[in-house]
Amino acid sequence: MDKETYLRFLRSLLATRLPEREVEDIIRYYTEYFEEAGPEREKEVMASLGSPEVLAKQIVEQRQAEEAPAPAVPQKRRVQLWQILLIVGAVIFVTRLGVKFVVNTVGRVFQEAVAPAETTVIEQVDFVSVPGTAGKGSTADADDGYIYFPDLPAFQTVKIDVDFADVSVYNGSGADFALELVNGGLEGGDLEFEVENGVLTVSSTKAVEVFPNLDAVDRRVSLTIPEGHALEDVVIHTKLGDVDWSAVSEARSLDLSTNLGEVTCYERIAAQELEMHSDMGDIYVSNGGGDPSQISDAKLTTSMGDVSVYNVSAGELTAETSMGDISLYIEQDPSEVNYDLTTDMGEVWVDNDLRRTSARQEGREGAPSITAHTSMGDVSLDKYEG
Amino acid sequence: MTLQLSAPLLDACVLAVLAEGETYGYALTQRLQKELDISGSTLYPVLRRLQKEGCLTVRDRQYQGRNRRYYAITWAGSDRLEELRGTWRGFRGSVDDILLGGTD
Repeated sequence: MDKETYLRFLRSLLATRLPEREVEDIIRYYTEYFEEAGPEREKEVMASLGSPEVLAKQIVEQRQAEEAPAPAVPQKRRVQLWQILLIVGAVIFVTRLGVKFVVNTVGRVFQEAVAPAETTVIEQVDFVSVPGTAGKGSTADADDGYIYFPDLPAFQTVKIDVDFADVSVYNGSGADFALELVNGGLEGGDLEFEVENGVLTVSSTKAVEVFPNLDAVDRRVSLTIPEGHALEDVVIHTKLGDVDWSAVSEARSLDLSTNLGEVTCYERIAAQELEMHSDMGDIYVSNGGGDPSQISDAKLTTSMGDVSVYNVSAGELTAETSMGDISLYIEQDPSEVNYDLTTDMGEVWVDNDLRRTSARQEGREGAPSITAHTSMGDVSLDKYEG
Repeated sequence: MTLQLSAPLLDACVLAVLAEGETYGYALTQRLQKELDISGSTLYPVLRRLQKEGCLTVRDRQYQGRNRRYYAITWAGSDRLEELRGTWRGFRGSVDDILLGGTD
């Protein structure tokens, strides 16, 4: 068997079990691997990888172990009773959000977290894509709760509002828009989407189960957009889950929020307005170096988590948290920008220099304006050095 | 017999190599194979996961008419590496105490 046959075999073995873009990514990796090793070491590489069947099995199992509930669910989701009580106590004690916050958010999460005591049999999500009508679909259409649409009509506006799911947005390999919706382990509560007049809408229906076992639940909305695609307005909200916007893209406004989970961005973006909010989790913006993300107006807020920003050029930037730290690494040197940084109980650092509990600099015309406040954590402002 | 690396240790080894500079999949595998008993298929899921977690970024570059995907460590990756180094020091100390403690 030569490498072409090997890779063709591998692709056909994976094609029915993983989403197309993942298969492409895997084939890409191993094609490059073979090429780097050179034709003379082809046999050696195949021996090291094992047969296509063995490799495919290993990849699918690994992926299922990653996605499957028990070992792979981020710790944040496996909230223990004592943790909730501790947090509830802390919130009442220290923040003015107190009662409202507890009733609205923690109350609901608390209910959901008190899962049935008996062990539920975990059903693996079967990775088979079900063809559907482009433009509209629901996980209710698929027996296994999994739908994948590789080429959606193009859209400029995104409205995602779901009660309980991780939402992620990435760039695909080509010019396609694709959407993957997974509803695993939660009876009812389907995820639905529609694309109409350039607007993508994703929503969820009410779950039948009132007390789902969080460990058995795997619910995701994964959206793929072409690199550099220009969007108008984007609003993404999930009540329980993470929001990850990691697509190189432009947008007029990006509004990303979750009640319980983190909000992250790992790619370079350009936006006039960026709002990221989490009640309980961290806010993280970084693009791993290169050109900075360009944001005219950024508001990053969380109650319990940290706010971390790397390699961003912002016109106005506001960061707030009650219990966490704020770390801002911006394109400009702090001496060139206006800032107002305060903490009630922590420390404020500017350019690696301790300024006690507040630091203010005004009057630089046309310069960025950075405002940050935390009650219990530290604030730091530095130039991003790559 | 050989001892198997646990997932966090493998993460740490990958991040440590990337901390020396960005590199591509094959070179990374070769580098680790010099010291460790890993196969050609060990690193793909590790790299994919670390990328998903924001510990590394990828960049495609042309090399002799074909594409090479380079992996580079991020700030979050450096933080993770430091954390794992700390954990490893503690762990190594404990195992040394138990295994080698009474032998000198």
